[in-house]
Amino acid sequence: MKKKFNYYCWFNKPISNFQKLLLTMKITAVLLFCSMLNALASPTYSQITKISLNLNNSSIEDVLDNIEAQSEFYFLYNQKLVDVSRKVDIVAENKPIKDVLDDIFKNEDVKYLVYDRQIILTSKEESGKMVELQQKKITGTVSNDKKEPLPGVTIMVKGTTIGALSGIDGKYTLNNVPDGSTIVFSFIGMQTQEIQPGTNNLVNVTLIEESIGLDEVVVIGYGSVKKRDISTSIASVSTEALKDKPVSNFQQAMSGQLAGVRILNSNNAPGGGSTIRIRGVTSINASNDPLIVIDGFPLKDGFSKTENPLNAINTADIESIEVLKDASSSAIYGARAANGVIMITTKKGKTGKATINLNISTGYEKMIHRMNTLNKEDFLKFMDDSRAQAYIVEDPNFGTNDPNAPLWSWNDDNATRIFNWTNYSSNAAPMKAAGPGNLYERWITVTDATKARPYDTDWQDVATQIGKVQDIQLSTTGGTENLKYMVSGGYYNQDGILKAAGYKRFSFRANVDVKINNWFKTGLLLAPTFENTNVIANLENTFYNLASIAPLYEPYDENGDPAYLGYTPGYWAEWNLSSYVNPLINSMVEDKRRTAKNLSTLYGEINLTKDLVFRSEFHTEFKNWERNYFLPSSYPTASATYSRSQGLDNITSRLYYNSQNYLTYNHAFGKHSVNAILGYSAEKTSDRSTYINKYDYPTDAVHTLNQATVISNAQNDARTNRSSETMIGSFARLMYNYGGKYYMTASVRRDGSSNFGADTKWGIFPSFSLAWRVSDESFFTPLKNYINDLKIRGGAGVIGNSGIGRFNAISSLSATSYIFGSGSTLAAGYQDAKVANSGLKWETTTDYGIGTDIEFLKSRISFSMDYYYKLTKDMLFDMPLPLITGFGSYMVNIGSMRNRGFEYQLTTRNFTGEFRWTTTFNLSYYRNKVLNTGAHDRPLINNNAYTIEGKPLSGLYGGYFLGAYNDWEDVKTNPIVNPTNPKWMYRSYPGAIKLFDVNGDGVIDGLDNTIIGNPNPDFIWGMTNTFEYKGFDLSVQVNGVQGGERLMTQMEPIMAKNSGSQNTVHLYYDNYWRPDRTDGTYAAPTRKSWDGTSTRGVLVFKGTYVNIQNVALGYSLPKSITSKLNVSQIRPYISVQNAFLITKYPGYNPEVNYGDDYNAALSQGMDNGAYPLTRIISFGINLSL
Amino acid sequence: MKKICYLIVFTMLILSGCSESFLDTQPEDALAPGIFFKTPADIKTGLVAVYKPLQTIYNQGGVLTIVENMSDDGTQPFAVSAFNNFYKDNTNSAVAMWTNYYKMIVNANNIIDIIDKFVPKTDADAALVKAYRGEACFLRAFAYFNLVRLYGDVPKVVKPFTDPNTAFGVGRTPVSNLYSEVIIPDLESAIADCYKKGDAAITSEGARVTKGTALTILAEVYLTLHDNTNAAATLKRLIVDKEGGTYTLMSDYAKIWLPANKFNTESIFEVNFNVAAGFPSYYFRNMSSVGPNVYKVTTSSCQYAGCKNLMDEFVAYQDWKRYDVSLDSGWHAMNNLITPIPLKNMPPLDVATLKNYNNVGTDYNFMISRYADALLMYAEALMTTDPGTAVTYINQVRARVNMAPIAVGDLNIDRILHERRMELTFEGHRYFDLVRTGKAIEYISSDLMSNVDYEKRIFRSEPIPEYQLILPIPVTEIEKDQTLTQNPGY
Repeated sequence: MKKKFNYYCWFNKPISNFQKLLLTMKITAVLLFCSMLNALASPTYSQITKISLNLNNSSIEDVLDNIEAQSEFYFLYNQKLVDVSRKVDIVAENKPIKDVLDDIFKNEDVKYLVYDRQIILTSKEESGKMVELQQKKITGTVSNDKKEPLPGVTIMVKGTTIGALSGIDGKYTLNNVPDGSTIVFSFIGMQTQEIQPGTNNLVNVTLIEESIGLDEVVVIGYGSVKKRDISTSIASVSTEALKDKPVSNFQQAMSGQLAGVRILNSNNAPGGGSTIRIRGVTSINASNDPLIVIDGFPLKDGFSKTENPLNAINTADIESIEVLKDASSSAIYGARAANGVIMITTKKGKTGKATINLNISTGYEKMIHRMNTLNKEDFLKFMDDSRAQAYIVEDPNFGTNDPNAPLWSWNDDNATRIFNWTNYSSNAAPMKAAGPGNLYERWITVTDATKARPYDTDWQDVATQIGKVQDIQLSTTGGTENLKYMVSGGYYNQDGILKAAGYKRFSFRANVDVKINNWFKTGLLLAPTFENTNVIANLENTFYNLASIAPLYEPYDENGDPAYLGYTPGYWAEWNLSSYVNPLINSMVEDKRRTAKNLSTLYGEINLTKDLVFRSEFHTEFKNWERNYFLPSSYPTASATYSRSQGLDNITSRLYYNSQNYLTYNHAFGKHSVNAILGYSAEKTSDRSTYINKYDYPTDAVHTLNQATVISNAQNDARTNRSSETMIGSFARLMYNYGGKYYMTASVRRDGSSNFGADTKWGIFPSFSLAWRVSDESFFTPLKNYINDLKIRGGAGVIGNSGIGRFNAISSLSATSYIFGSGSTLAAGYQDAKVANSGLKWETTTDYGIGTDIEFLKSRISFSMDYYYKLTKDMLFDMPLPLITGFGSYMVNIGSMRNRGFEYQLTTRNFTGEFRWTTTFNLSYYRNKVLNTGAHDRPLINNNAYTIEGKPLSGLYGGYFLGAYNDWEDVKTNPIVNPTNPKWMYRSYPGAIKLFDVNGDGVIDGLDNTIIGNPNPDFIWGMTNTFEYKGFDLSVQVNGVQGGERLMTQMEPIMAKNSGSQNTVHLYYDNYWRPDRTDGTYAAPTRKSWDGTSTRGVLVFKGTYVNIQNVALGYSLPKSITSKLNVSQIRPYISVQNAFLITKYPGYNPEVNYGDDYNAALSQGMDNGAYPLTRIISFGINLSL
Repeated sequence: MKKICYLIVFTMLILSGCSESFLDTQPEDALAPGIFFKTPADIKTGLVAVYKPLQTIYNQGGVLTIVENMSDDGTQPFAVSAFNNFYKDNTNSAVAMWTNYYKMIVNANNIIDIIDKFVPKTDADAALVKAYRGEACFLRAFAYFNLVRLYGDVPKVVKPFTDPNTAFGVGRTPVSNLYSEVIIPDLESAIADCYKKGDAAITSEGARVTKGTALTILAEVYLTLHDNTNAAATLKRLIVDKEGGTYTLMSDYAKIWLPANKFNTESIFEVNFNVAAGFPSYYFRNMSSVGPNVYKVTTSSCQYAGCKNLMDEFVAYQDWKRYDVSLDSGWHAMNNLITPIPLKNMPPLDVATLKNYNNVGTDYNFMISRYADALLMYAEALMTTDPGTAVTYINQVRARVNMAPIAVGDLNIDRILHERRMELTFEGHRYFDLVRTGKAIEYISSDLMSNVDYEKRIFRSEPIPEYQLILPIPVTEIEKDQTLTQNPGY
């Protein structure tokens, strides 16, 4: 990186007076231009890049060399004008270049100008001069692809010393240009262009930026590196990619943008959570959530299905997100890094004039991808089919081979059905009986009262509304040399598509950095957030009900109140249809969550020597979460018109502090560059909770617990709990590179956690990585025109997982009680609370990875590829124990599992002129395999998911579905259910589910259950296209999942076992077996009770989808208008979230997963309820002052 | 600058120095077992934990759901129950029973182990822990007694597990060994160590196991083992020698179960429930699915209803006093079923009160054994050796409900089973009575194979197979430990 630059070098001969004059002029022009630019500057390289120096008595030349070595900056100066031999002392730590230069040249007659990566030094005296020169041969203008003039571009006649610099307006003049020569335009950070002017005297040139990516700075644990110098697998999302999305959490905003990072929108309800999986699921029982590190603060929060604790991080405050995917990069966070690390950097203050940014948007939200349910007409036919199927099985000749027997017909009319049933069926007697017995007719017919129902209710329509999303963000940044600030406030409000669901957030942030003196810096980051979430009680059931309630039901009663759809003896629906809780009354049940949270960070940074910096950070998180639940006595259930009134208050609070102290050593000598850290961290989390559950309110009007009269179980229903957890870590890392060509990184961390056994608390997590910039090798030169950068990198590391519950290693007693007397006096009791495992230790994941980064065609195309192999051992596993121990399981380290996969990321700059079009595309896949489930190798079965050695985790489990038996021939020649039952109605028959006889014993039963699906997708991908043209910007972000099966367990009653008492979807209705459709793929519905056949095979669907996740169109008003209004930017925009979802998946949301947090690893792919996806169309405006 | 450097190094050293203790985090809201159980009062808390699972076992959906359904007294009203019609397969193993009984056993093992290591400081302390040990032994024996009657051979666990890995490969111990090595010795210990009914130490704690409880259950164990001699001898100690204190029959059959009469003179062992204490009994819901129709009460949880065959027997013998209490409402037209809420579970009530009970549960205890049970067992034990004395005990029970005495000549096992059926309806005895007297297949098959006109269905066309008399071992347990074999037939 270190090159010598001054004008002499460029021209290879002593500069002439004339040339000096020329240059001085150009420099002056550049200076003028750039000082103007500065006023408008958006964050540029010079603002992002931080310089650290600690030099004593060094020449300015050395200082500048040092800066060049550790950054992309190039210095241009004339040694005659600038005294670079002067000795100075300079100390700087993570300072912007401006600060450093100010320091160096204070009181000196030197003026400097920073233009992107180029720094021009000149004397103040010279800069005042303006000299005009007229002699010209070739002239022109150099501009960038935004049509902005580029000053300071070096323009050379190839093979000569004739050259010039472009002026403030981008104009240049070349004299004495020989005929047939080639003119070379070069500028740091831009692609060099060669042009043969021929006879033209006017040559206008547009220079295109070189790959921006390589020069970005990427935050890594305890430091940052240039993207160019990364030797590990790190993915980034910039603030640009996160903007304009009316979502409450950053996870949704970054969805689909990072190879290997899967973000499942697992609960789309307002305030609901997403699930992040980096490179697949690595743990069976411990956490699979990545570690979130915000400004150096490793957060404790995991994910929760109903409420997302990460909502407290306001997306608008995020400057960048980096994802450390492999062990080589994440092992510095050893203990908690097994699932990857997400590094979030918030926006910081910048020196200069204060800028104010305002973003306001309002959006409207509508349910998409509805379940395709039946209307009244189809539903009546469906009901009748189910009755016909239940009717014919009562035929005494059903299933016999008697050709003379008059088989009852599916198409018999109601009178015939009732006559036959009353006279011949085994259930004849109740049909004959007076009173309720004659309701049996509803088993086999659809009554006239039912057919006469006037309603045709589309429940999904009736119960959902247009939701509303409001997002207001205000922030200001600014600062002086010694004090920089960023303060922001945000308000986000979402009223969901259900009346009861809503989310509201107020968030604030203040990031203040103070430079006390030239060796000490400190700062405070504060981020309080207040959230209110209204959760729909029994959320999943609500949307299940919307799909399954018959259209015949009325939504409202005669008073306009939501109708009672519960069980009512004697009502027309009795025995016809299932009973329900009317979804319209969901808002009666109050379930409010309130979270107040504050993150704060205080840091101090001391420059100990010129290369050595000590940084100490103290982070705290305080969180108070409260849940208020109230079930009124007037809430009707599916079987009664009332409930037992109940109130519940649950408060948990957490104080978490984390102290991190580390030394950073930075040193460059010759081509060697060394960066080392050594540090120590300690943390403690203390949780407290209060739980009160009371019953029997005299009135529904007041919901507070002072009204309730009964505590049912004194010990459990009014209680507090406390617990805490501690962790200590010490870490070291060495990064070395030689000339930007050879890289080596090694790190080690030793962590101790209170979660583990007394002798097994400590774990050591090393990592190592290497990288080689092949493109800088001399043998690569011939290829350099096509491949301008090629890096190969690889590494390995060990990372840990401690994401389990507390105190599994320590035995404890749990309280219980009994009553010995006739009164209510309790006798306290204590019993073992668990089987402790004093040898419990870290789960470790060993990760090997190799990858390459390639830039083609002058960085028009960038491509990265990664391969990884992750092996998890000593998996923390809640191992089943025989119940004779008094417990069903205990936590052990057992077994192993591996994930391996590929990741590809491609960026192409398709058009770079006035019309700009950039495409980024990523694709990744992994294959998971459980290698060992422990000594007692048996399958782990959890929620119909089946995990066994040699197969991927969490296979879907059930009978393998072959369709429906076509006819008697089919039934009698194939294995069936209950073949020995004397009655055919209890066996398989035409139209019933046909399963594969897996074990080949000729009988279909539970032993034929097998793995019928793999929930892991074949691959996932994402693509973002951004377009810019004359102030318009458009981005279209698409993400997709290919393959991966889902088991729609929740929809079993309507899609696989429908008895004609619930609504169903057209997919089923249009394809089930009927006598006139014997090749139907699904079993016929039947009012008869189910024979117990596994129906899970019916419910397996591919989770493949393509989602045009976000389309945002904005228009930045031209400067001519904004300057009149005295603002720097006005940009109205429109954004559509979930613009189009293309999927064959019949459920509400193909990404839903059953269950919360930890257990989900063993039961992936279960659709046990979902909040539907919604399309949000929002209108907004960005305003900058 | 150097000073700062030293300061940092020093700070880091300090921090690393305190590291080990910093990681030594203990639960703040729970006790550690090692430091507890230092006094008899502490030990009593461990005993309480042995009693505790009884409230689950004898509540709605508990063991009675299984044994009453399997007997010819109860039937499943709305669903075809594999327990009821003896089409059980290896999925019908009632894992909850296995779980709860072993929970009792594990808790008993733990506290017995603690008591055995406990050095009492005073005689009073010694007396207290002696009784606690006796009770823990009884409860362990009682849990095993029910386990072997439900599952046959089961794993024998009589010591705390210090290493959970040793819980694998324990295998099944034959029933006879469990009786001779665990159940009988434990009951003998309980007889020796427990308080008598009426002892001052337990006057306010009627739910505790007494010497009488242990004697009664030991007698039932002997009857089950067909050792009538020892059964008679044991019951003699209870009934004649009054070694366990004084028991008498309550004068009014209808009032034995009333919450006001908990731990009455007839009570031998009860599972205690109390709404105010947070432990309500929902046992009545087992039999109250009639609710939604008649009382407009939500209970979709009816576990069993009375069999027609049971009602017929009451009617045939004109046993009206006991009929009123045990079957009360009898046949219910709307559901074609006997779906009573017997007075044993709760009194007849208006809709509002019933609705409330349905919400909050009741204070009704479950009577595991009472003096009438002991008297009838004594008659059974003496039946062949001393029928003359035997009938006096039956007639004592019959006299209370105004039933005529039976003659010595009429005494036989069927007569005794009939008397027990009438007296102890829905008290959890019938199924075990039929099995131990060898009558189960005959009686139950006949019930399942008869066409009962109001039920409109025949449950079986052939007698129940013998293997169906015990439950399958829970498959989930076999999956955990392959050395656990399945019962034949499943």
